[in-house]
Amino acid sequence: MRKLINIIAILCLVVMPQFVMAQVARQNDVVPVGIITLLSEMKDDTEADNKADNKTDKALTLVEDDEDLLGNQLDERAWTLATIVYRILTAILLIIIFLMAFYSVRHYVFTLNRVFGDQRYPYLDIDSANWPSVTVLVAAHNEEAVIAGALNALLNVDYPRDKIRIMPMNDRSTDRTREIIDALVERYPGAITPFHRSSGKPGKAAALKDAMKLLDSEIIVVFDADYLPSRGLVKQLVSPFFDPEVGATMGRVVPQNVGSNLLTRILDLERSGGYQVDQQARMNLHLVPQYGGTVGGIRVNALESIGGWRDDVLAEDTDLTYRLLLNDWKVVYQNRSECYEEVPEVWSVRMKQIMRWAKGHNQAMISHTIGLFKKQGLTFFEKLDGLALLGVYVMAPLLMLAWVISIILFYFTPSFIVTTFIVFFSFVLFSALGNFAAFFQMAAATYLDGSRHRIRLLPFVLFGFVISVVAISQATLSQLLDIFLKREMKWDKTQRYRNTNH
Amino acid sequence: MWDIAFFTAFFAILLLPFTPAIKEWLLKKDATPLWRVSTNDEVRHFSDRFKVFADKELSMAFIKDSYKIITPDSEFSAARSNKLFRVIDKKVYVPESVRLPDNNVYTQEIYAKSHVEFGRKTKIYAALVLGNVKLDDECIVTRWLQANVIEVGESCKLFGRVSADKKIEIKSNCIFSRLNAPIIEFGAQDNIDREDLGITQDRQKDISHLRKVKCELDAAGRCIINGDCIIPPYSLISCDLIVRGSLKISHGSLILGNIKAYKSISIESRVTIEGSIVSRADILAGDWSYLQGPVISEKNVKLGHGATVGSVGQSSTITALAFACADNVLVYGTINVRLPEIDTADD
Repeated sequence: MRKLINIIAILCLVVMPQFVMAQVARQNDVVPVGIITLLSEMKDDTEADNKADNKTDKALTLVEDDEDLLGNQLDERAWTLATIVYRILTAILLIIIFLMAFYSVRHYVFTLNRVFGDQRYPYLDIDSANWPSVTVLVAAHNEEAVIAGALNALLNVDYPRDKIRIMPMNDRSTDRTREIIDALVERYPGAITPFHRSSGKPGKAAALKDAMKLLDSEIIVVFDADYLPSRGLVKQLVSPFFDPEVGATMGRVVPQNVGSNLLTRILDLERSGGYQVDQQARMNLHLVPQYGGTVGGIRVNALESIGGWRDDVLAEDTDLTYRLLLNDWKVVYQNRSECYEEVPEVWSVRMKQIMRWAKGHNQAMISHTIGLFKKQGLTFFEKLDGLALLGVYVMAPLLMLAWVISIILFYFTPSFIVTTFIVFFSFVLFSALGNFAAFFQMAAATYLDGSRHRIRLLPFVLFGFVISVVAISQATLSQLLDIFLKREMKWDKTQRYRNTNH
Repeated sequence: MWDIAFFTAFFAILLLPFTPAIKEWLLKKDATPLWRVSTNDEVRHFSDRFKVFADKELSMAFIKDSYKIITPDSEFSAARSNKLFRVIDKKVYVPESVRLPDNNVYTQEIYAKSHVEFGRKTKIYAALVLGNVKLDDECIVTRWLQANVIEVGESCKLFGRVSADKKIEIKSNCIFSRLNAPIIEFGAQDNIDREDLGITQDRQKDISHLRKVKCELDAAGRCIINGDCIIPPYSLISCDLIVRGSLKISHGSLILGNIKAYKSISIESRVTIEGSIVSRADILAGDWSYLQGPVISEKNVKLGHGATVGSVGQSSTITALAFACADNVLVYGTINVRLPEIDTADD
């Protein structure tokens, strides 16, 4: 089955660009006389209308005057320039179409693999073993609403007591976070080792970097303060480390506040698609599952061998995934290691969140693309998937650019069938395949989860998609400005909604 | 007119998918967080829960009637040579040691306070036995079985979770999906002490006859080999080993680290591996080999005569798609087989 899917994927990747390029070759003979043709058509239409209204003479005179004026202005140089601009725009559009088609095929391959292919859970059933020592780090910055819930859940996990240490990292909180942690330390002596951080660089990566100096365990497991781990979660996240090639593990994040409003329900669908299908398919196909920063474990030895945490990056999780990959470590995704999290309930918070992700991801793309190309020991598909993952947030601004180019080309070119086809093809790709392939993935995820009704919300995801595209494009532009103006990138904390009494 | 009709049709088609979407948004029929598995993965989860439930029920006289109570002198247990299948569709309570007849089908849980011997071709849904259990040949367990010691006859099928406080003994031609016990014995046991053969996790043992293999290590102290690898006889490897091909470990070698191979791992006789063994394909362990484990295979695991996995002080896990072993094999801990009915005998 896996082979069949691979063959289909290769065929799509090989045939589709060739088809597009054939169309380009055919349409190269077309001269960009769109404006003239457009005006001629306008003239014909005007003539027809004016005849009907018995105002022919006056209108014809006006149109003929316009045509004469235009004919004088379009000299040889303008003609050449227009041709060049036209061809550049078409080439850019075709490249974007190709990229969109590639991502679409990727989505379909993942979805089909997840629904019909062999599933890999090689480490899930490990029950008895000499478990390695683990420190569970709980990142907390002004988390008074949620920190107690997370620590109480961790105190109840199934893991040998002498092998586990729970360490909340209170990063310069100004609310009651410190007070709550200290109260729990007092209530459960020896079970929690607090790390109160009052100075230093802000951000989770910087806090993790400082916390590493206090650790002596083989594995660290990182949670956010709003996550509620189940009893068996730590064992599930640690079990892949019996494989000496595994540098990090990642569990599945499940939104807890699903029913709050339409946004949380849309995000629930997006998360389902991203984890249940995308991450697990990458695991099944031996590609590049992504370490997500939380609900995940890291081998300390591996982390040290790649230079430890970087506090100068916005998405330390993506950065870590690629640094591990480039140093012969693998990331394992454990789909059944679910952990609840809160998702944003307000669009502005969601936009800030996705903008931060986009900037961090793009930063990782700049840092690791060349390294990934050069890396020995990775399979072709691992490299391809790694590159696709790095470039995923660039697709949003490219998509917006493609929309603009499509509209320009539509008016810039004559009503010639091939050119119309190109524009039409691009729209089809963007809307039918490019965008909706991801929706197909979400639908498959809800099916696999056994959710019967939430799949009906899928049309609303279109709104979320458009807003994400705008937010990511804005973030990318802002990032480019940051680079040119040498501004330091800012880290925005995601707002929490859970009630303090929980 | 046609323009209006066109735009009306266009918007109707556009908005059609939003009808069920708006309905679901407003009615919130499926707006709860995804249910997640919490403790169900624990091997004794169901038996522990059933014990609490059954003790509570049996203490209440009116509910007690919903149990079929079987004692050694009851008519039911006396009918040993039952030739026809008999279905018992009540929960069963066994207060004393008893031998139950052949060909019975128990469609609900059995709760036994002492030893129980099930006759041939018995089908058991689930059983919690506080004493020892003996399953005669061709018995089937469909959900779970928990006891102190479990003795399994020939050609039995153990689906679901089977766990024992002390020991599980399994005879030939049995299939199973999940076993857990401090000691799991397969087939007839030789009267040879494994310690006499040096097959133990004993770091003080003499290793002077072994040749230390020099490995090129990465920054994390691992040896990574691109392609297939054969480790010569009586080699000593003290680091983690990753082979991007198949791996063969020859007779008498000692591996102190963890090993992983992208293809199959073939372990010859009397090899000792003190770390984990991970393969994307088969793992074949030779006679009298010792594997501390865990042993993780994405395909099949086969253990040769006298092989040992885990140790008395440190239990381990074998997880594979299919599992097969020769006689006199000892496993300390857990065995998980995802496709128990696959026959690996002739592979």
